[in-house]
Amino acid sequence: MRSVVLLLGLTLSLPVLAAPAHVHGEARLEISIDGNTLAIHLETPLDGLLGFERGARSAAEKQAVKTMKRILEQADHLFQMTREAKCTALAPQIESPVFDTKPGDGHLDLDADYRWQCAKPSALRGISTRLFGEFPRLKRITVEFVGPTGQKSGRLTPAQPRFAW
Amino acid sequence: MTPLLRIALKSAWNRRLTLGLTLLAITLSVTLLLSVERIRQAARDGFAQSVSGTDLIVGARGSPLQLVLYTVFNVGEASNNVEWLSYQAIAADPAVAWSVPLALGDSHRGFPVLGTTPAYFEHYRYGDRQPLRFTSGQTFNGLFEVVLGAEVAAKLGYQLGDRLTLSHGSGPLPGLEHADKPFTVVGILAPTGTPVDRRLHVGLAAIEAIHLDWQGGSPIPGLAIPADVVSKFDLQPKTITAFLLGLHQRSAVFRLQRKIAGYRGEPLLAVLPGIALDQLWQTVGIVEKALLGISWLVFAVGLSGLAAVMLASLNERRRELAVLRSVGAGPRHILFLLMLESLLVTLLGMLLSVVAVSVAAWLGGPWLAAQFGLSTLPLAVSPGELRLLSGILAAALLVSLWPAWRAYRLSLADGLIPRL
Repeated sequence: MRSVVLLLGLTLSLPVLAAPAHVHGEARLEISIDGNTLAIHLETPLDGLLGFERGARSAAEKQAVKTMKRILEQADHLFQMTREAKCTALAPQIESPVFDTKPGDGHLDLDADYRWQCAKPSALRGISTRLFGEFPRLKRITVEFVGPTGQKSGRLTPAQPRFAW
Repeated sequence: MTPLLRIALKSAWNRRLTLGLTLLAITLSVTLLLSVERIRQAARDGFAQSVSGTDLIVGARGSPLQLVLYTVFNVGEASNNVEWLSYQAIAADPAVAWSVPLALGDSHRGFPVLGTTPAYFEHYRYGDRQPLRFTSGQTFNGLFEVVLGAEVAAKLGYQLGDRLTLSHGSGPLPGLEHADKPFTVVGILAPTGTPVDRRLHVGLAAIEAIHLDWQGGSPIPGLAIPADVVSKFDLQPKTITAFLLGLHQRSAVFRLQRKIAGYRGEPLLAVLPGIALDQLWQTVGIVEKALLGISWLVFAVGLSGLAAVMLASLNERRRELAVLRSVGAGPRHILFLLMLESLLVTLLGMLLSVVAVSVAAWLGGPWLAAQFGLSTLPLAVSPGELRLLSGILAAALLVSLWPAWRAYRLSLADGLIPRL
């Protein structure tokens, strides 16, 4: 078993880069609960949200960027958590080179930070997301969670958009 | 009901050889199922219990899982070291509450040696955030002092004040013994059921000191620095293998992880241990399912054996059943009698396997723990095993319906009518 574990460890050697891998169709959610604060960091290639990774050129593309931003700003629409925890969303921060005047070329990402203040954080048991419904190009989300119960990881798909801890 | 049970028992006793063999098949297959479930659970618990309260493990860039395996589980080894300067720079980050450096690579009679600081005993947590406890003695203060894990002390029979020497590398190789610099046992840790039990702990400076007159992994010929003068040398380590970090605020962990990944001094990797282990289980889950699937197949073989024996016995029991019918037993009594027999065999088999698995866990658990790093096997039946057992019973009940139904049908017309 020791050698099996070792072997697994070696075969599982995922490529580790200084920055997380940029894989189209995939996104990353980092969820943390600390005191009364629930924080979610979303990181995804722009392709999963827009279908292109450069500055918007046509009027339609510009509109698409605007719509994307509007959807991403609705924290309580995108994420539903245990109701009994009574969480109130704070204004999210959404950053991406696509909002710049000169976005540049190559693979572009988007980073979004969401924050909630919860009256009863101990009641938080899980979270489900509407990201798949809003962005059909998104196929998989890797979740990493840290909270009072420890560290946990999971994977969300359109068929299983809920993560429990 | 009671007379029926008595008749069933007596009739079964009459066919004890075939039924006994069937019982053996059922017992063995259920034992296999239960052991797979118990070992699977113990392996999971063992891994999950081994590290808690550590927010990040930092080492040379490579596979996250490999980093967790060699720092926490004594499995595998590091691909590269971490500069002492990098450790100091990252440990000084305002988000960091505590840090524990780890230096691996030496051993004592097969047990790994961990070079660290007294902070290790203060901050390392296992299970449900339990701290390490000393059964005797205390942490190391002097240079050549060693703290033993519970199993090291028990297996090798060491007590406080005993002296021992460390070997270079993971096993005893001739000429690679740090024989000139013996260590004194100053502390023995309480058993934890984690890999800590199988480690020897010394100070970082001690690791540096025993390698002073070494170069490139072997002693420098003609150069021997006696133990009493090493303290005159600079014993600050240049490199360590990895380090553990605890943070003031849990939520800072992802930000710090990114910061460490982008550290300019050298390529580093920071891993959230719980998440790396979760990812391990997501992969191992397939193997687990395959094992459990095979066990169910073996159980299916056992059950078909039971059904075959019951069906075959119907022929030899034709007269028996007919006599029962003639003295007033209804067809439903016959149905019940047959089902009762199958159920008794299964129940007895289940009981025997629970006993067998518990005895095996009691006898073999310590060996498994030593060989494979499994935490101690539980002796009691877990809720998961209870679910398994009820599944087994339900399956046996379903299978027993078949011969019982056949006997029911036959007993309506068969047996007393002589066939010519």
